Amino acid sequence: MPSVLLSQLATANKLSVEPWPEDATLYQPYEVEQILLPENASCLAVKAYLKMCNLPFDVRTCANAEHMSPGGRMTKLPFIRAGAFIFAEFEPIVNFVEQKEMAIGNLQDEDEKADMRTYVSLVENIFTMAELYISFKNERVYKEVTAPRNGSVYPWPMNHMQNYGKRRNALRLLKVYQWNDLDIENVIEKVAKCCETLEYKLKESPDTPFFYGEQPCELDAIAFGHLFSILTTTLPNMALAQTVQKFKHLVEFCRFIDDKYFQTSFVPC
Amino acid sequence: MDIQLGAMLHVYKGEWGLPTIDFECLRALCLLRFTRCPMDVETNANPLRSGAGKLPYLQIGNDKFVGYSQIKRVLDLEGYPIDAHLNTKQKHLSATYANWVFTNLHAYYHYFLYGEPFNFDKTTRGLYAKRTPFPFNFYYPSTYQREACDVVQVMASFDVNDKLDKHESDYLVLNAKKCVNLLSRKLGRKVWFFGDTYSEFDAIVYSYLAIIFKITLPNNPLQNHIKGSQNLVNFINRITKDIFRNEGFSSIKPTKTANGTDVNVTHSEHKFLESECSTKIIAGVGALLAMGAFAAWRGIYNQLTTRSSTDYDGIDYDDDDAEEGLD
Amino acid sequence: MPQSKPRGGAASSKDSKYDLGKISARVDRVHVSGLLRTHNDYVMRAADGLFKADNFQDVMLEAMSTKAYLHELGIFKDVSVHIDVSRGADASPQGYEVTFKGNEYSRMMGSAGTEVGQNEGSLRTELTVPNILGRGESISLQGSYSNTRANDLQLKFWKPFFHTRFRENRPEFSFSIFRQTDRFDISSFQSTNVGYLIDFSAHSSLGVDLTHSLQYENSIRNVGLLNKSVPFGIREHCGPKLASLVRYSVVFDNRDANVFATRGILLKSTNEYCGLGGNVAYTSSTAHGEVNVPLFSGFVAQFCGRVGIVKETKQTTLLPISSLFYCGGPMTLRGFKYGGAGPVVDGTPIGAQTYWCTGAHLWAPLPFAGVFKSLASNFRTHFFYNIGNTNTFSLENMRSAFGMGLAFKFADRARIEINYCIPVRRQATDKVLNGFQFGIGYEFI
Repeated sequence: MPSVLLSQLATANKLSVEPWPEDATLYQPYEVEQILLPENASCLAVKAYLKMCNLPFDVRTCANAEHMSPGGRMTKLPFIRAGAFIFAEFEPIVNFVEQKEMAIGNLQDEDEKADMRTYVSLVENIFTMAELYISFKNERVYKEVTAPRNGSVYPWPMNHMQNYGKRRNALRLLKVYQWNDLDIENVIEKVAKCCETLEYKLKESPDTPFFYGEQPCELDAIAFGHLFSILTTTLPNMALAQTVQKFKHLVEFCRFIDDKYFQTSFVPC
Repeated sequence: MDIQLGAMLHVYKGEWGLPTIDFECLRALCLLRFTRCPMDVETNANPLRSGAGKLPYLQIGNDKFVGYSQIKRVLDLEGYPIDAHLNTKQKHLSATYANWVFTNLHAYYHYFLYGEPFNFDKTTRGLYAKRTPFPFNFYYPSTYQREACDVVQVMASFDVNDKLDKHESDYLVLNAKKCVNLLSRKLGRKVWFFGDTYSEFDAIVYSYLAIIFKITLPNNPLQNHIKGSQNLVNFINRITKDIFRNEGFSSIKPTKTANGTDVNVTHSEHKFLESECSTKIIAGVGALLAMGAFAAWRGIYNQLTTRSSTDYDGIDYDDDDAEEGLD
Repeated sequence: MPQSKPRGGAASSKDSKYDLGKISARVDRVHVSGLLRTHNDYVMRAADGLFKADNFQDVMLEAMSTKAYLHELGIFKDVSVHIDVSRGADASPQGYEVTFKGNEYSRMMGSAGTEVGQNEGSLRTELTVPNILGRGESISLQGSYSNTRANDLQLKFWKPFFHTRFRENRPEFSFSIFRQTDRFDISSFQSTNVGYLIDFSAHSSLGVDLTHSLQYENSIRNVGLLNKSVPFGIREHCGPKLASLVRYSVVFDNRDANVFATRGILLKSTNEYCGLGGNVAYTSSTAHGEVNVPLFSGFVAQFCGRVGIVKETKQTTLLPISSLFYCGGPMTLRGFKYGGAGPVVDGTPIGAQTYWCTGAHLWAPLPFAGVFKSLASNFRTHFFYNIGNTNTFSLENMRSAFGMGLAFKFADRARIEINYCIPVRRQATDKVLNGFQFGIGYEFI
């Protein structure tokens, strides 16, 4: 096993001088009938990041994307296939792009960069956990949205087993991140606090639309991915969206990024 | 509810001069002592009294608040919020960095304290077993192991129950080392991470690093790495000495090491001998119970068989004949 | 449980003292004793043959075959036979009484042992509850563990219908729930199957003796990777799928031994149709044949061949990777690593949609076999020549290897081989093994 890791590292370094592969492909679950809120958020974040870096990529949707993924700390999705390499989740993909020195946000100094990385980690943790919480711990959302969507790609008796397994994994994730004994008020409180932090950060540079100066960076991508997904996904329980909507600057920020990079119609719910 | 009347924080007893051996307990203690909250601390606590089978817990009257987040909420409400003296930006940064340190060190801490089989069997199990009352100390430490299994599975995506050579801990170590480097740079020559004021960030960094730095594990790659960052070592030692002057505990007293008999017995061996003693007692009791049960069962069994053998008249006659022959 | 036959029709014959076939005999009564939990009707047909016997030799032979039949019923641990002159008021002159003393299985039986699978051994434990309902119905729980394979579990219920009028057809029904992991180390993936299997098997003897088995399997097949760097072509298959399939297999076997046959033919064919619901669809057929021809002084010539095809059906989106065929290895094409003679993706071998391979052997007893007769009967030496290929039926680009080795009969069913192999024709991507190769299994080419 260590030889595999070492060789992978060596080839990754060798690869870093090569240009961005033309056939880079992003894999994700079916958007219309299958994908769940946390997965949608992380997929959108990665797409936003790649678009901000102006890197070309294809998107492929397949039912077993999660099982194909090499694994990660949270949703394991999306994963990107670039040449012989596969990277899953936001942070590894960003690291991979940075190795090619084609990344955005290279201008910041070291301290600012460290701060930014911690913000990214905060946004990823808090929002993913809140999304998982609402998807799997809220009985109504689970029954009406999560379970039917997750089971939609499997034939009859298997969808129940897959739902059971998926929920068990999600609850384990919540437990590890110490979110399992929170009630919905605590979750809202945490999300609101995170939004507050983001809005404070956004207001630090009031003249620019981005978090750090004139250029977009990872934080813009991941914040957009999560906020936009929460705002635009209709669930039986809209507590998260209502919380985010209280932060007008963040809603404005989402609208701006969407216009600039995605050009889709944005209808706040 | 008046926090000063009868409020008591229950934590595990410390070791190696630290006030407690457990990360969650240390984190809660930091909240208390950093904010100078006048509350009593019970270090000889029984984890089974908490209701969740775990320490720390805060008892105020009949109310119990188990776990760090609940304790923090109580202290916030009672007027001892830890981040009170920071400015707005620092408040946000404190929460952000606290989350980031959790992401980078939590899996390392859990893997090397509870997940790594040698570390757990040689050191950690004994530490927790010694702090748990008698019959439960055999079962109780393994609940930590199970929890660590989940943590490692989720945050490092390998299974602790697999063979040791399949444990991909390099990733954990690398992440933890990067984190320590950044912390060391961020701390610089300052007293606290945000200059002159303590924060939740300081509490979490101290809680992770103090335990990882002081614990005597057979395999702990981060320990030497922390030694390389003198400012972090100073940070840990200063907080331990100044703030936890009263709670710090070490099972090896200087007088004991001086008398010479135990010099050759290292700390972990010492603990092993103690645990072996209790193991012998338990084994004895177990054997006694088993023998008793067996005897009882045999007795009943014999009665049953003799009763049923009377049904066969012929056999009884045969037995009688044999006895007569002997006479 | 006594059975009796009405008097009359006793055969009389000219006695000859030494020819048992000429001693007339008639079975008056047959006792089967020791039936504690078994219902009487379950052994009712045991004596059918005995009553038809009309001389003493037949009585003996029929008694033996009845004993074998009673064993087959799966209720007795051991059976002993007593033949006695019939006594009593209604005894006929040449009447005999045959008594079978059976010793029933205990309520629960446990066993542990080794199992031979696809070129690997594993530790197996089994717990059986025989004859639960009194007519041979049994339940067994089987678990096996090996260092290369994850734990396998099987809970099986079976019921033989040997006591019905279809006795000659040996019908048997079974239902099992299983969890089984197949590791494909060479392609770095494993398939974990969880599901149930319904099996009905019977003999037919219309001209030739055939053993049929019709199975329905419903299982979840979860493909997982064993390695981090796996070609994308394999990674694509990851994840659980529901397979629902019927399988029909038929066997013709008239060899004189399972392992070291000296004469006879074995033909075996298995056909699978998958796609009755679920989201896996394919058809698969394999055929295996073996012909043994005795030569002089214990030498035997053996020719083996095997063909396999997997095809898409109309519903197929992606052929399941775990149903493809691997060619190469000690059981198929000696001189190659397991699965090493087939197509590759990005340097990793992957199964083929079609394959064929043949083998010619010359088997010889050990030299000086007469000296240690009992031991030497378990050993044979052989020379072999194997030819095979994947994904094509032409002789172009085929693989071949020859060599010699020593084989050992293991537990009357399995064969252990150690061969020195020399690959002759190979492809650039093949993984060959020039030298000693070890093999263990049931079915070799």
